[in-house]
Amino acid sequence: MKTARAGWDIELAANAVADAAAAIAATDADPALTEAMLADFYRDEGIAPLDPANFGVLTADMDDAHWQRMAVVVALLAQPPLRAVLPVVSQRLRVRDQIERLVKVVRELSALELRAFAVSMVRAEELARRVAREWGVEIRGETPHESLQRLHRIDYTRLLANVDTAKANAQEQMAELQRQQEAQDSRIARRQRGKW
Amino acid sequence: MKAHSLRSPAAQALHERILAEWPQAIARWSSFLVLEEPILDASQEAIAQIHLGTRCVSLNDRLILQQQIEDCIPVMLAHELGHHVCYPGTLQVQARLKLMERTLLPDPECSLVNHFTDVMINERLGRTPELRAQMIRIYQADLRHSPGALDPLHGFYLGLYEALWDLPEGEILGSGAHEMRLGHPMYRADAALLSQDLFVLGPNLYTQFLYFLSVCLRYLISSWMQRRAMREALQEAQRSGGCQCGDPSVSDWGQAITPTQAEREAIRRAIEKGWFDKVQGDRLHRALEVGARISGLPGMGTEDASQVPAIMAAYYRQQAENLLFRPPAQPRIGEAVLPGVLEDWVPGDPVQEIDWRASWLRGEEIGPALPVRRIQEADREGEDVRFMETRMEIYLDVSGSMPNPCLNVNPMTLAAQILCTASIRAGGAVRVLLYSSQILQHWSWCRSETELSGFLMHYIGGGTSFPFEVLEDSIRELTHRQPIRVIITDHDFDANVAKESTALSLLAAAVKDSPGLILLQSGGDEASTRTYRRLGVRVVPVQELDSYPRLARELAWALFPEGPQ
Repeated sequence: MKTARAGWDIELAANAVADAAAAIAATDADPALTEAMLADFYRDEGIAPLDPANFGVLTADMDDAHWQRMAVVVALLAQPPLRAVLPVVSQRLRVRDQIERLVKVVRELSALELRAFAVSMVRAEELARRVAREWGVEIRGETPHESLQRLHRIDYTRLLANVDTAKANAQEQMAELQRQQEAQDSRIARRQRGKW
Repeated sequence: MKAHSLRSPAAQALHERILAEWPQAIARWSSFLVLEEPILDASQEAIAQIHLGTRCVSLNDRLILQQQIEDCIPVMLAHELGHHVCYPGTLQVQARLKLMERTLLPDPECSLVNHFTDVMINERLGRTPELRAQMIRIYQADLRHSPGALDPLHGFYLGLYEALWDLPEGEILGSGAHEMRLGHPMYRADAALLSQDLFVLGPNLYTQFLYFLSVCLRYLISSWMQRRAMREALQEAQRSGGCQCGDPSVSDWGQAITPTQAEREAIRRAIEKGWFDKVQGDRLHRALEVGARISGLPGMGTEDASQVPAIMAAYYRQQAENLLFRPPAQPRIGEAVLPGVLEDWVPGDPVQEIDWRASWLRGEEIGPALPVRRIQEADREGEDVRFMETRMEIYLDVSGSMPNPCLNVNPMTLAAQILCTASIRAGGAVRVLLYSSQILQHWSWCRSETELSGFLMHYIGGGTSFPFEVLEDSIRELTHRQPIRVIITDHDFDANVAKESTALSLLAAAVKDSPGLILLQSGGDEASTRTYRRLGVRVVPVQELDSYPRLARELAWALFPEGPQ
């Protein structure tokens, strides 16, 4: 049987991430609730959820920050149009593999503050696109190549690494700045000072 | 402004178009702005600019027509209004931003404030597709008309917009994109990260500015290194980026010397997040120190620091007000009066008769809407009562042991400022003498806080020699109208007294028939203090340098208590 391609409205997905992040940032992580919600969403689509034992194995060493991000990802599926991809995705990937990939996304973005997903639509979009990429979900209005390009452009980890390279390459500029600052300090310091 | 009859038809048409677009430009920001209409100025450097002092917007018709960007008038007008409404909004905010960056940028005329405020405004306006397209055309046209190698800072600035608006590389930069990649291979990553993170760091404008500065700094230095002169690089970079004019006033700078909580938080966050390396982070932390901020005042460290004394005088006046907080009573009218009963104030009655305290007690909403007035009634008809007109002489030690008040905060100068402010607001007059090895006098009775604060900014910085001869002349001159005399000094005063044979008798004469002779002195000898007190001198020992202003404030409250005598 030909596998149908599922599609997400990226604006809807990013807004869902931002709204969820804003709400979850104000609460404590609740792993049991997150697991239960995820299982319910699968059942809503007629798919058997992953059993608790295997779920526990995949999420064994997740901390509170990971669980908060997992809660945001799970909240994506609260939107029926986004949840509707589950049956199609499940034709390609076992549920266990789907959840394993969600955990991967959560770990990749754990360095970002949760608040960043709430206030920055670019970060919210990045999270949604990462999930879409891991699950093979198409983004409506884009070719797969365009979606990959867009994710590459907004990939925060990649940007940070490149900026670190830029900073490392700017040593000569910073040394020159320091020289000029010291010269300016000397010019200002040529004034009479009291003993106080 | 070009005379109407001398404009070319094209300039005239442009002016009419500007006037037609003006109401909508205002409406993009607020329904309540009241500003004069824009003018044309073909001599200005920028295509469009706003004077933040006069709030006048002016456009360069010559450049606009030359670059064929007449259809971009709407965004030009909206952009300039953005400087007035939001970024920086006021010249005091501009002064604060400049003082913050001054700790990092060595050239006093070098600033990234204009670039920053431009980016903040353009991000807002760029959310409207039509305005975004106009801004892109403006920057493309500007680059076309800029011959020569691309300035790194300007290139990064334009690359920032490409990243912000998700444009293909080179859409604005053109062939400049290749130049940027050669010199700064990761510039797009810098631009992308800055465009993604800058606008979510709000609402603290200073936090956003520091983040902007942390990224742009290396491109600015590249510009400098490329051209070997920061001024030349700045002028080149600001040709397209600088559209604000108008300098902060001395009052704005004076206020900006004291950092706000928002600035403190911004610096704390910038250091915590590691936006700057350790060396620059340490320098940035100094931006919270008053001394370092004084060093960043306009002209400081250059050949023309003429604004500094006026700015510091404004600073001392503001500090005196803050410390006094409860200013003494205002001058009283000549008749002996008693407060009468309260009546409703109606429009047409003198505003001075409104009793604001009683009005506010009516309630937060009713009070201002229906104020009450209190009539002062003469106690006895026709009787005038003699009131004490306060006069104060201040002798301030400005010898070499004291800091120059223009370059560092001098607590003794501030103490003198407090006493001047207090005396004048109590209806009195003040004269001031600065002494060291020589003297400087403002010796006519003065009621102007501004004039006296300007005089207090003088500094001699030599040895210490109290002018007993001036004191003697003053005692003789003022006969039955001896003023309050205050001497602000340190332990050197004791040596001066010991050296002058007539000193003690002069001090005693100054005490006699006068409201008081007060000595604010740190480090004084105990035996000398007892001697002064036996003569009737009120000695106020100062334990620490920083205590001078506080003690001066308490003295002021003691001399001029709140409310009528």
